[in-house]
Amino acid sequence: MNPLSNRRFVLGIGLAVVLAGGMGVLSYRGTRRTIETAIWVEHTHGVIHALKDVLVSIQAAESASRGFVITGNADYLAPFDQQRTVLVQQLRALRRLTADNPVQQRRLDSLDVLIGEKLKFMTVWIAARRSGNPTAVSQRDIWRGEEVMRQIRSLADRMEATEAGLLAQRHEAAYQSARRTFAVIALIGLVAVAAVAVAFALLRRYLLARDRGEEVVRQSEERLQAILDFSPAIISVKDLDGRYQLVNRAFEQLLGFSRSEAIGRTEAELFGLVDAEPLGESEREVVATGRPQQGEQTIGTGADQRTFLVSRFLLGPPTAPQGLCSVGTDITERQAAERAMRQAAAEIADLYDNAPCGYHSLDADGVFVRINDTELRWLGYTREEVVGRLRFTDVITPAGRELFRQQFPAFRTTGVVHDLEFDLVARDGRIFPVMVSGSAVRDADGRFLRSRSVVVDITERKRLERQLTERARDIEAANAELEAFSYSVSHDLRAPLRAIEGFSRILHEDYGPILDDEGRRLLGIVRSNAQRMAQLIDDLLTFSRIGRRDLERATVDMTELACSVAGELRAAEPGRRVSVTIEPLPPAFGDRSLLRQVFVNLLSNAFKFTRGREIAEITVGTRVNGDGIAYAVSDNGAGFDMQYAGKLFGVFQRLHPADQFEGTGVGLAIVHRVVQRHGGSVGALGRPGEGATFWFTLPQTGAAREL
Amino acid sequence: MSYSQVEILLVEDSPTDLELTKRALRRVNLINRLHVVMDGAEALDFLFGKGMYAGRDVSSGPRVVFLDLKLPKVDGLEVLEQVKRNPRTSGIPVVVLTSSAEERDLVESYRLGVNSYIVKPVDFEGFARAVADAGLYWAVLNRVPAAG
Repeated sequence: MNPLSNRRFVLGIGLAVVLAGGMGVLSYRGTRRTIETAIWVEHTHGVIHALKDVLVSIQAAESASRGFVITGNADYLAPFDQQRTVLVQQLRALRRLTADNPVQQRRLDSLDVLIGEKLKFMTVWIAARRSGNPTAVSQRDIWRGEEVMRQIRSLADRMEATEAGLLAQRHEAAYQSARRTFAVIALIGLVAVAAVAVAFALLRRYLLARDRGEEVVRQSEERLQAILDFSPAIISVKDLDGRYQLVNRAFEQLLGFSRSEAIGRTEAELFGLVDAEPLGESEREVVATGRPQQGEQTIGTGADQRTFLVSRFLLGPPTAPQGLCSVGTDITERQAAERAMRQAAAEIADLYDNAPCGYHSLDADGVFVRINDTELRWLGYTREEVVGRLRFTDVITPAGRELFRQQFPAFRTTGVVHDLEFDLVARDGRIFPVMVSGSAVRDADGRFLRSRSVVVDITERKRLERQLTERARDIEAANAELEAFSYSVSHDLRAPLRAIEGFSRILHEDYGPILDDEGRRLLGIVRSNAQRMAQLIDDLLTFSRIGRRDLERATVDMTELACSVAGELRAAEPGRRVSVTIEPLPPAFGDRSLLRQVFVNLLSNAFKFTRGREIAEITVGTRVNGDGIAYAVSDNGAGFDMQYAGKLFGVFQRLHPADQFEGTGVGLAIVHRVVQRHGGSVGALGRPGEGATFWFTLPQTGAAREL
Repeated sequence: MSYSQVEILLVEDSPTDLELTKRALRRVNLINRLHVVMDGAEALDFLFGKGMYAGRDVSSGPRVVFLDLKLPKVDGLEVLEQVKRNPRTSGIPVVVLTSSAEERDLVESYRLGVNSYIVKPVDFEGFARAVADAGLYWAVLNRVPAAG
């Protein structure tokens, strides 16, 4: 702020100047009046002196005249004449001195007359003396002469009194004037001091403000510089000839020119462009029109190419622009991102439209707002026919509409819906089942905007489901049939066998004596085959039951189970020498009674096939194989040829003739079935005459899948 | 033999099994107090004194019923259920004699209150022994509370 632009400051200073001037004038006038008064005083004193001189002279003339008269000495006449001449001069001077005062002039006139009269008297008296007739002068004349002298004195006294009075008056006037002047000067002095004080205060304030203002300007400039330098945008200012005046740090960094290199040069010079105008085309336009402009500008080539969005505008007053400012924002990444976004959007649109499922969006009223090509193809409509025109309920069967009406309001609230089944109706009337899942798209306030629904054509699945249901029904029927079959096998096949067995026994009992040995032998064959058949039936039923019954899984102590089974088998053949070794076995997770059946079958086989050994050696232990830990039952019995190992676990498969080792060929098949149902595997190792090892694995925990 | 002297009611539709059963009972002299019916309906008539058995004193026995399960008209499980459900007959021991080793028949029979369940062995000696033991136990040794 310029202090001269502050009215109060100017007024204060102005007032102080005017007052100082006033004070000068007043002082001058006061002084002049004092001088005038002094002159007057001098003048008065002059008048009084002159009066006194006149009195002295007249008295001197009187004295001289008297001296002559009395003595007759002519010596006295010279002073008399001299005094007479002096008196004329003195009176003339007095008249001059009192020229301004008519009263005194009039008195002076009287004084002239009186003095004239007195001088005349003296002259008469002198003449009288000369003539020697002093008595020519009467007493009356003497008295008159004294009277005139008194009058002269009185008049001189009055004149002196008047002058003295005037002097006193002038003194008083001068004193009063001096007092007033002094008071006014003192007042003016005070006011001037106050005005100067105010002006000084204002000036001080201004100076402080100016200091502060400079600080603010400095800070503001620092701030501006910081803003410029930390701006990611390239900012430059050129003069109107295109020479850089100012560039910011981003300019230096992105364009690779330091501030000192750039300032004072044109863009063309910096970039080494020959034949280029100092200002670009758009810059010239900005300068010409004065209107700001914005445009894209690409700098560099190849991978270094960067694109800027540049704003150009003039700085300074429009009528006299001072510079051209350019602000360029690097939009390379933004453009790349936009490109990537466009690509992604195109990709999403492609995925959306060409997905193997239908996509659509419904608004809060259930009207299609979006639908993909796949669903349109299914329905046989164009997008224009569907979007904004059809409701979802327009393309489903009446049963589906009911479901939709039930579910849609809840969906708008919860925002999710899963696996709703609808039958879609295509334009040509074709009906096909779909499954719809959706989620809600909401605005920032949580209001439902539209659904985002996935529609899966489940025609094929429905067909498979139907097939599966049919298959399940078939299987169920087959199972029921199988069950009925095994029931009748169990019941109806055994009854005739019992009859064959029973009656051949009865025949033997009642008619044995009349049969010969061959007849009895043949009856025996009938009976044993009936029993063998009964055994086959029982084993088959067991095998079939194992396949059907549910597993009751629990942790099974396999060591204890093996011991118990071995104990029972040993007890059944007390006469044999059998060495059974049972090593500690890990527990299994399975159906205890079925696992018991496994041990029964494997151990009874071991007992059976070691029958020819003097000392049967049977070991139950573990072996490590590819599947983990396997339970193994080994014996030193008849063994088998590994060539036939694959047949061991089949139903009715036997590697030994029935007259050597009895059996139905179902035992190992049952073992296989049980282990298989537990999710384990079985295997066997052996050599003819050197014993055999049968092993099986079982899952150790409940994690195993039931087969 | 009046019906009141019957100690064993044998319900059996198979003539061969019937003959084998009779032979087994004969061996232990239980054949004289035996009455045979060929289907479940007749068995119920006998037990409840209806139909051709109307007027039979139902409080007089039998001491035991030998019941086959696969029977014409009314099957064995149905007969068992009615006998055990009726307070007048629920005290009569019922022994199921059947060819069926089916678990579900066994379970169902015991649920209905069967006293004994015997799977007829194919081998006659075993069969004869089982029938004889059951006959002797239930018809001779077993004591039931006096009727009324």
